[in-house]
Amino acid sequence: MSSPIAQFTNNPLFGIAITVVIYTLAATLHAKLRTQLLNPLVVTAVAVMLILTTLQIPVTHYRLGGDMITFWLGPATVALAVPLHRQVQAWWRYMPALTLATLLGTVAGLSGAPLVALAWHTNRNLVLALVPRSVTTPIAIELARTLGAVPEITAAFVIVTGVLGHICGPRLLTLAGVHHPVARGLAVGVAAHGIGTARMLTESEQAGAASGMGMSLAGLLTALIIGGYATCFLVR
Amino acid sequence: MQAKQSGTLVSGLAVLLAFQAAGAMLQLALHLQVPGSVLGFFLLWAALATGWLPLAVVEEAADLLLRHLLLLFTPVVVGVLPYLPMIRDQAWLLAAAIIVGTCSTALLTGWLAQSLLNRLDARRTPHSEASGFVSSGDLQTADLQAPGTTSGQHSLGRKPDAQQHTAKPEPAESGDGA
Repeated sequence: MSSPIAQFTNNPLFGIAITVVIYTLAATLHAKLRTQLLNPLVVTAVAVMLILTTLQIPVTHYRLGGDMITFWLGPATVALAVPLHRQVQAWWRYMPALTLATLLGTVAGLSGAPLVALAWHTNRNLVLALVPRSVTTPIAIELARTLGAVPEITAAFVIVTGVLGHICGPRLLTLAGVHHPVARGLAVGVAAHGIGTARMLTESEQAGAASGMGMSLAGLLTALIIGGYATCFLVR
Repeated sequence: MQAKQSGTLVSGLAVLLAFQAAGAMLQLALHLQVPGSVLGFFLLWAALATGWLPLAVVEEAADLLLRHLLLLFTPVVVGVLPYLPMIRDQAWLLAAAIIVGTCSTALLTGWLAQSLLNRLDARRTPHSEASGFVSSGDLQTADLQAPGTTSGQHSLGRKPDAQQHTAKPEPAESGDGA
């Protein structure tokens, strides 16, 4: 009925195997060459996309296994409480300052990209999809629905934002003279959610924990701001 | 990493999944816009911070998942593939918007956090360090001293209430407050 390739790919094994194998190769290469240009996340994603496109394998087939990997993002998000707990005892006195910095950064993130897009008269759907882009995917998708944007487009923007922050964030902060590990972690977590946090966990546990907290705080504040806005101004 | 006495990989994963499930139920019950995993994150943090859950139970599983966080994100990134044509028309504009938004957020948060942290550190004196948490610190000190002062009685006639005092787990930062 279907081709042998399709028979093989229409199975969770395909998505899991291709992702884990290519990721392991990419991570080994990355560890040997020590260059951020060969970031394992980007290398693996691009390689998988190329394979799917050239062999004309439907993304729905890949997702059978891919979704099983994605599932573990949930427990991994919960697990961010562990580095946070290990670090946070030294941070209690800093919490108001960190919350204030997160709030202002979140507001800049919520308004910055949509304003640039509006200035160019972008399609309204795309502008709305840009708004919740700097928070972690599950929150962003819920908030996109709240705003009346297309959740899938928002998800794509969330990923692009995360990858951008993951690759450029630490370098940008170094250039700007931000060297404090807690400030660096917080900034990348607020700007680039979990994908940024994954990078900061490789920088230091302190930066990783700050990044996880920045991501969660930014997610909560964004949900409060957009949820509050939607409750007050949008009639369902 | 040796298997710890009170926690294994599987028990750690069970705890993480249980907290995520608890967060999901909380989200449904309260009709919140915040996803269950983020609520679970705050619940687990609270459980660890209060000492209700020992860190050793979840440590191994959490470290495993976080060490390979990039792998977990890969399928999500691949999932953008079907939406690439839809975005392509305005790709440069959207890229510019996202770059401006992301960089401004990172720079504003980073600068502000660093200058506030440095200011707090510069103001740090023995006097100001005690402020804010002085009451809890004093309480803990008193609590810890109680068994010590009663130790004479303790050896003579065993006082059950004194033993309860010592058995009560106290947060580790009590030493900082004293």
